[in-house]
Amino acid sequence: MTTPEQRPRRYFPIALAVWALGATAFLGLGAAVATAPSSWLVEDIPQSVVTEQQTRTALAARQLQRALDSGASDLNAVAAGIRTLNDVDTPSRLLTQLVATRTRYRGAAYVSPSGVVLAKAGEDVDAGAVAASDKPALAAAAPQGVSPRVFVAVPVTGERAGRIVAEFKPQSLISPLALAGPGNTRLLNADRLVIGATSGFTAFEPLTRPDLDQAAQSARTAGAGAALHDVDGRRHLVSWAPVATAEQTRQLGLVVVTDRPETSLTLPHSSERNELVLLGVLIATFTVVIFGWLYVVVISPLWALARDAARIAGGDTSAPVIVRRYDHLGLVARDLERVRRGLTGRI
Amino acid sequence: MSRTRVPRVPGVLAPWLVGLILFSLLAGGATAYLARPRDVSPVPQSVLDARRESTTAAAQAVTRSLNGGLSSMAEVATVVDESLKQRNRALLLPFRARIWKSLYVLDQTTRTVVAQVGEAAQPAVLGEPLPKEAGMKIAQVGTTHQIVQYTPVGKPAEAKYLLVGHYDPNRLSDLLTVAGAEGTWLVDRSGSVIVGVGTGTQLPQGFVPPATDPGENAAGSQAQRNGDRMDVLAWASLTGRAPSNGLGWSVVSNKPVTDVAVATDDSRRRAVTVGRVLAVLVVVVFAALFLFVQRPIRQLRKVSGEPDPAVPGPKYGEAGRVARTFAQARTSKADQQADEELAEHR
Repeated sequence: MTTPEQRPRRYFPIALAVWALGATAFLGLGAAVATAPSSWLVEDIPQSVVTEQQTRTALAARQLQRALDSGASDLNAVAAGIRTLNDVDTPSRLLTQLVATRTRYRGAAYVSPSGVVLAKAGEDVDAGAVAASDKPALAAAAPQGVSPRVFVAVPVTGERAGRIVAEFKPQSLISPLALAGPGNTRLLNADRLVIGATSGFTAFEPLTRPDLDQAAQSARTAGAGAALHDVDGRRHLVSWAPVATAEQTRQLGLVVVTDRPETSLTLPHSSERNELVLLGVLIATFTVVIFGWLYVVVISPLWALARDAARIAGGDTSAPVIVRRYDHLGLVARDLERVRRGLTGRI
Repeated sequence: MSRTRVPRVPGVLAPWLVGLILFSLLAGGATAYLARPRDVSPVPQSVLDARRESTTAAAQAVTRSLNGGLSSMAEVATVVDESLKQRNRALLLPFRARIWKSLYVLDQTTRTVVAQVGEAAQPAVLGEPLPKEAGMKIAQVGTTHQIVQYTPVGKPAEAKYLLVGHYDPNRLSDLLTVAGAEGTWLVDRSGSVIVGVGTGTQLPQGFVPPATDPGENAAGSQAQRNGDRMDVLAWASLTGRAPSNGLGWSVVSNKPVTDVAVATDDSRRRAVTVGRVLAVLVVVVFAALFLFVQRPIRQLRKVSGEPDPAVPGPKYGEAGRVARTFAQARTSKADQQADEELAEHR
């Protein structure tokens, strides 16, 4: 059809360009609708919300201290019975009842001043974890194993002098944390390692976020507080409180820290922002489906036809024009193939 | 002349048409939905939620405290039981400084008090018949309310004695303060105040918290105007473990708030803007697709395979390229026929 000097004119793929521009415009709009509101629909978190979370975190810390203190009360009741009642089986019976009626203990033991276990109930207790004292005392064992170990001990005076030591179940330390309300509330030991949390945690893991570590330090030095922190572009409401008591022997250096992302707060524009994100996702989904369909049915076959037409116009009639579909473009392809065969026959 | 029916050839308009309809519906529907009138509470929802969460936390703390008191009493009962077995005497003296204002052991058969510490025993508040299992109830002692906790000494089925403690509700005050120092109350299922903190002893406007089944949780909050200020009333039933969760008691708090929501038309304006941008984009993109893709294909179909097309074919783009090839083929064929005719004449 053409001589080498009459090369087919180059053409601009208008259909492909319009399709690409259209798809890009819709995807861009979808992305803008989904992401832009999170930057321009930013509003202040009411101060009362911050204050109330701080109050609840302080409540959780106080209730945890009460739970630990009531451990001393429980053991004092048993100690009073051992001191007053002389039956040789009394310590064993009272400890068995203690572990049966109070589910917070893993085990309890009555030990002599020399450390000999005189009676016990539940699992074995490491009585040496608590230093001997003439006052009720709390102690946390060194981090080891898969769960934190917190002990309570009270002295038994009189003729049957000794100590009663009990170990708390980890769950009894975690359950008061729920009082802090929504968000993840962590219980940290004196080394600022996590020993409990309302969401999943690994015992004795360090805090990975500097703002939480700072909160734990503030709890120890300045008492309860709350602050807003920016974490990965999202605001987090962080509150903290020390688990403290007036009794020196019951100080464990524990700290409660609550972390709540702003997404869990119902701010005035939360629903509007979520709806716009949904709209953005819908626009993107529709774009992928409709423009994908357009590409398969129209753009790709038209592009292939133009390529074959240019090839035939350039004199290359060796390869046939493939007819893939039965539609307008398929019929055009069939006609183009007839042209190719006609040229081949003449040659 | 007979006419043969030619099967209709499907066009390539379907994705364009479906896309136009879908995107148009999306633009219209999204605008209508996003621009709908929104309920604007006079107080921000986050403040209402915070009030409800704090009141719920206070209710949970009260539950823990009451249940913890009863568990402590069970521990005391164990020692009392042991002392009764060994000495035929109830050992109560070591527990006189515990949480109960009055702690005593009651003979269930004769209803006589066999041991007591603290204030004078008031066994009459237990009513008839005496409870057989551990529990608690509210009782009027003199002019004040007291929470009476009781537990059998020994196994419940064969217990001869009942250990009774009068719990001072004021011990719960610091827990109620968490829900609001301005006004928080522990109320029974009829709305009567058991204990309260802050101003006033009556609930605002005789508020009665919604009734719940044992173990069921009911919590909520609402804003209400009180003169020239805005208050948030929040309530939460005692939840958690039995027996406290079966008492039907609730914590109710009322707190003035300064965070007031201002109704604006911004959401509607934003929705209309987004809808308009989407609609304009739909019109522009689909018009371009029709003009530069669909129409040239239709024109191409009319000229392809026609020896003498009645309409001109497309000129530009991919369709134009194909149309030019057809035109070149027609010209080439006509030239060849002319050459052959000339050769025959010779």
